[in-house]
Amino acid sequence: MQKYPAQDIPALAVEDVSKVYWQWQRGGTGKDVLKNLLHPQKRRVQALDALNLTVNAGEFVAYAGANGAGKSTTIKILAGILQPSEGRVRVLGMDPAKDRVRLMARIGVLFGQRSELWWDYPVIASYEWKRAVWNIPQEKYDEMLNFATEILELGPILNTFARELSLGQKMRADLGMLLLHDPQVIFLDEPTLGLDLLAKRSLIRALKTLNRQHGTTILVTSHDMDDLQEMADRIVLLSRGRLAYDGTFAALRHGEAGQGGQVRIRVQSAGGTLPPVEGLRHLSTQNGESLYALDTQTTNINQALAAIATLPGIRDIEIQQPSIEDVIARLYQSWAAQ
Amino acid sequence: MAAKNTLRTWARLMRTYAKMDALYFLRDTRICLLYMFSDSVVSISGVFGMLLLAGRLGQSTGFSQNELYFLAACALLVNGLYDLFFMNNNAGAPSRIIGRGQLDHALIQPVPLPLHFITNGFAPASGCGTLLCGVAFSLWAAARLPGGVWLVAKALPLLVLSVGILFAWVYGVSALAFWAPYAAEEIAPDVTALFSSLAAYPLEVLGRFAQFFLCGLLPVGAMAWLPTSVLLGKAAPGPSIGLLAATAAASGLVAATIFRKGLNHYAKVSCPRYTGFGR
Amino acid sequence: METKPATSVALLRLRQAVATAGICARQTLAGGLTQSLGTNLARLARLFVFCLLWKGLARAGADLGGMQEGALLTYTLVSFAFRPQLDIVSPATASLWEGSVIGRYTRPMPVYISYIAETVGRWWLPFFALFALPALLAAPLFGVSPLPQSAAAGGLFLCSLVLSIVIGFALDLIFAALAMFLKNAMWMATRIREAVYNLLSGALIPFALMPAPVGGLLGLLPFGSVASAPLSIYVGAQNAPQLLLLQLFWAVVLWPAAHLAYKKAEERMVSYGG
Repeated sequence: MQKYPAQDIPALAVEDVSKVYWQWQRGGTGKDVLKNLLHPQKRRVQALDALNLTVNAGEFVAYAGANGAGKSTTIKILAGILQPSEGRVRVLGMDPAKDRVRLMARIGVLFGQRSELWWDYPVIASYEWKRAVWNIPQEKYDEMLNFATEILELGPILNTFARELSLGQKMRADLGMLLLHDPQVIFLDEPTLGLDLLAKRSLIRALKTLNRQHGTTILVTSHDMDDLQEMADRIVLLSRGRLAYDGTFAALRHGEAGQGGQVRIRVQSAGGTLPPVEGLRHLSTQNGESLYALDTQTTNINQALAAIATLPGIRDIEIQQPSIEDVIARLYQSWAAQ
Repeated sequence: MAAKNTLRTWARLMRTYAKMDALYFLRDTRICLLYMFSDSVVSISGVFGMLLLAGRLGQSTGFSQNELYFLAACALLVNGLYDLFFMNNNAGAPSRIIGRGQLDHALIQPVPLPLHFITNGFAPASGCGTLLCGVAFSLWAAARLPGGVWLVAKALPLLVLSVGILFAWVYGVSALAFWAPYAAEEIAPDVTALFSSLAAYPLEVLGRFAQFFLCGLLPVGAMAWLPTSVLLGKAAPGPSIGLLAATAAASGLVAATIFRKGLNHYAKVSCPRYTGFGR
Repeated sequence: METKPATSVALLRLRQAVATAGICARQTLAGGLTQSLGTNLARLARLFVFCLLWKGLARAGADLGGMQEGALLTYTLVSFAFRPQLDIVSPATASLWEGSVIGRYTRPMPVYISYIAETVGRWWLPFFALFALPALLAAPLFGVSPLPQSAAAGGLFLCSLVLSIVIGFALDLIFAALAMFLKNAMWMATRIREAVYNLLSGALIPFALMPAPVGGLLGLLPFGSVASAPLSIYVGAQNAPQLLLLQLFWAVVLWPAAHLAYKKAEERMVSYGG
């Protein structure tokens, strides 16, 4: 039996996938309740709409979108838990709906806020359970346990009861458990939700190490764009179930929502209004602080900085790029307005 | 080859869950013993009503007082076996797993779902309270009957079929939670209550049609009355065992069909709610 | 500080209780009839088989402890139809279990009223609409009379039912307080409670069918006052005044005990539940 898919088979292939849900509609009055008893009202929700997505082996992909955009639905479809209404899905060359058992031995899924750890047992007992259920060879288990313990700093919590772990510890322990069978692909649904700064950094570091050292394909969702940017090279954005953007963070920033590569330069001077600088648009001056706009597509930033440096009484120069959060917020707003 | 692999996986999973149950027992023996005690109280009180009635109803039921005791003991054995194999992790109450949106936890395991359900409830340490009571009670009751304690050994294969019927009904009805997760979350305990509260009653007093109805179509009588009637020589063994086996097979088939339909529905709509409670 | 007149406070509490009960009932009923069909069918099947068995036993000439076949069937029917009132299970214990108890303390109303309103909305109203009423209406078709033995018995039953509910809530609060101290063993305690209730309350098997000393003793206990008393009165028990007095006694004794036990457990309950 072939253990790994041929190199030309993408890790994930989603072709024209649509998913339709029906939502119960309920009124608040007694009359509505009576009406609903006999004729329940439903509303059609298009969770995914002709989605196409290909992810190659070893990629680290951020999967984002506003609430209800279809992120979790996609992950459930990729994991074989949900079936698409239309379209074709392949994970490691397999159909998740038909090959669920075989596929689960080779991928890992972690839904944020849902723990796979056994609540009333120490973490290591959950790991031992996983070894038996996933039928992981002892050698592989030991290797991955050591790897997970090292990158996720699990040592101090392996013998702690799951119910006694903090949120950050639980997430690390859950991720450690996810890695034990050395999955080729992992899906993480909002793994950083609710974590503090240090816990987030530790988790992100571990995921990057995993991706780099093991070549694990990772698809991660989050609403924290800074986290996603730190983790992934590629970002896929969904809007109302449709693919709205697929590319790098840098390209996203330089795109329309990033205001076409516009950056701002803040210049702190001894006082007074500074003279005009070629290629820069003066925006404002207040308390010795002047703000300029620069279009990186038409003006060379190094030349502009050199010109500013020649101005009299300059104390400090700061280049302000639009944050990725701002860029994406602008995108969400523009999609919502459509 | 496939059957051999399945058997191997079954054995591996049973070992794993037995070990986890033992770990739980050893970690908090006091709580575990209390659980065993509570299970015993629950089960005994379930059949105790029959014991209280036995004295008054006596022969008018078609069973002697001692035979009524044995009938109640067999009902207890069925409950005990069900607890032993399906007590942990809500395996014996799957409507809770489905209704609480917890099926995804099973679906992300590389194990066929039926195999998951028949193994992950195994509780040889914490779930044996009722069975131990059932064994003790049935030995005591059987010793007072002409067949002696061997009746218990003879009863076991028939009672395994009864457990199979109960399992099938619980799973078949629990599948409703695929369509109505909130309303049907607690339907599995309703089904087990339906069967266990009526298992210890003699159906001798009913007409043939009612007996067939309660052994074949709503088989509460197949829990203990039908096997006991066979063992005590009150019913012809061939047709009775045939009816028991046919009911078990039909219940299993119907339950599997409904559950599969429910799973297909789940694959389309998932579960609109999730609670980690009870995991 | 301005104080509100007692009547306006009472009206406010009533409005709060009605709103809470209403939203709980709507939550249960909103999924349509089919949603709770399974649970009600399981209940109906249980009732049906019980009636079938009592009929069979009566016809086989079994000693029914002086009860007539008709009375026994009515007793069983009413026991099933009024089950939520005869076996009070409020959200007190479950909310503690789920950790949602803290929410009741953030509402501008007494916690007891929250529990009562939720019990009525979540269980009583849907149960009555979807099971009790259809079962009582359909019973004559199966030869079971849903009517009390007499109009007087019906009236006394209502008084007894109110007392039964009062005792039931007290027992439930005592149990919730007890469960607070049991923590991990709470689930176990709930199971024991359910089992003991089934046996000791006379809800499933009338005390008249049990050996006389056992039935007599169980009738004196609070569980007996909760279920057996109103049901016996409904089918025409001769000792209705004594049963009502006994219920009153248990209500008077148990409510202060329940309040005390709950208050003692409250602080621990909120911190644990939250």
